[in-house]
Amino acid sequence: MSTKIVVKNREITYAEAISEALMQVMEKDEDVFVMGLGVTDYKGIFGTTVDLYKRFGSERVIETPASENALTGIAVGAAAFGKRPVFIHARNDFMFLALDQMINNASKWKYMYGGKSKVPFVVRGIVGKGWGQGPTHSQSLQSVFLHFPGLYVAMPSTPYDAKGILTYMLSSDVPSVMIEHRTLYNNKGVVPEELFDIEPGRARLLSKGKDITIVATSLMVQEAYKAYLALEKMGIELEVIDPRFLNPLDEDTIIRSVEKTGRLIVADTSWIRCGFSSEISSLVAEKAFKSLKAPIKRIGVVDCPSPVSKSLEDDFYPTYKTIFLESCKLLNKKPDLELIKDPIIDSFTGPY
Amino acid sequence: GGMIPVAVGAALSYSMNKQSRIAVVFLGDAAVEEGAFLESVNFAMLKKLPVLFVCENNLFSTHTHIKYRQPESSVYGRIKGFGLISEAIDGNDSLKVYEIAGKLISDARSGKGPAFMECFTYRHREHVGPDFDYQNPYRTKEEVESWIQKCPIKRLQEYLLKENIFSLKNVDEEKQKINKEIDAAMDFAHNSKWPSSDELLKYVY
Repeated sequence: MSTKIVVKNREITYAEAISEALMQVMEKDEDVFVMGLGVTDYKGIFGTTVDLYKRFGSERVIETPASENALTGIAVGAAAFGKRPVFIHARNDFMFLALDQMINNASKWKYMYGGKSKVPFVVRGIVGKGWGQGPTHSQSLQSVFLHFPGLYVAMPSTPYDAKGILTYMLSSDVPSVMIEHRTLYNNKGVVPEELFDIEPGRARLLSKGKDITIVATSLMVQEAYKAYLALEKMGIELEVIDPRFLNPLDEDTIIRSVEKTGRLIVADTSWIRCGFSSEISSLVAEKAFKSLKAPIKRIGVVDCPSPVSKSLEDDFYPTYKTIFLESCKLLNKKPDLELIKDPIIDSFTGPY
Repeated sequence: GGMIPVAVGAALSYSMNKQSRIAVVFLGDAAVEEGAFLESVNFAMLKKLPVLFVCENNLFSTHTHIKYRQPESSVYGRIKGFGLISEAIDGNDSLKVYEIAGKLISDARSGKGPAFMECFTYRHREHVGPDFDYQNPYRTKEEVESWIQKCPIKRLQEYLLKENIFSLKNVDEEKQKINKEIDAAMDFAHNSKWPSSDELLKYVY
């Protein structure tokens, strides 16, 4: 479903974009339904299911017991028998309980049944950050889902992408995971009023530059862009790429960019060890080796569980300043610290 | 036990689509130890879903007897205590299975909700493979042979002959039919080619 997009000047938040995608698709397709812990409570998954519950009630917005394991299997069964469930987890961390069903069943189902049955379901998981979320409420599981064949995985960084990607997943027959960052929820952006989708395998280029390619996911996309703006003042050009869909991945855009710049930074929301950033690094080392002028740099969180204390959280999470400094290092240029002297002000002001 | 919730999901789809279908899931005595089983029961009861859980209790989880895995109480008793409609029967009595399953299935179809059947039975041969394994220490030849005496097919045959529903000639005919079907399946398997390499990547997505 590729339509010509007419973008009117209407701005809505990331959360509103998600709610709108679900609302518009659920109006059209009566097989789509939502399930999860807290989907019908007054918070409605940070506002993304409140309107759905008002409109569709408990027949299609199903509050579930605390049984993520079986419930994911229930979603698999419902999907295999013609429905299109959307399972929502208020935190990625709870998805660990769902892994048996997501990976042993959903991702392999179509393959195991020789194409005779499929699991067209969508799992949404939110990433917590800051505010003392701590080790078990702030993880980001994209690397886990990417490792096993059979699942589509996306991490939208803008309201536009959130609506487009979710809309695509809701009509796709491939079991899909959408990982949403809580910190992006209040960000506003232009989003078409009509339904539209974003097909996988098409990365978004935020800036063109000749010096360094940076592939960034989710929250790190806005950090990469801030770094790009600061580095511009030093005459350093960053080419910022947001893959959006991590699987299927738009390899071409990334490879072509590195063939131009010769340098790569990958900035991800999770740990670098065995992470998405390591995957992109290997891919580029394999496919664009001759173009590389410098070693590839992976940026992620520090190699420890997420701390609770604010001062340690500040040490734990990379920001545009991290990207700025690493970029200067890559080019052997002395960083102009004036450009990154402002204190970091969290764009997300809560409440959680 | 991975399929137990999937059956509940199928039942959920029937319920949402207002179809009068029911889902039946077969599980072993060890599957009730998985958290996902009780989670499935909880949800099926909550939503009154048309699903029948059939537990084939053959006493063994691979090679470990149930007495090492569960507290000393009946599976059926514990599930009944949870509040689920439950029955426990001789799983090797085909007619009894037919009778009780029939009742629970029609109850589920008419909206009475989920139910559980514990069927006592036994595995004659090894966990995987065609041989007997009573040379291994986990069970005795005597135990295996005592259960073979209670074979459901043997008992059903005795009943059908006694009631003159079947004659010995009928029994022979049935056996021949079955053997033909098995032979045909074996021939098909032996004569089929191995899948070609291009099949490896089919249906991944």
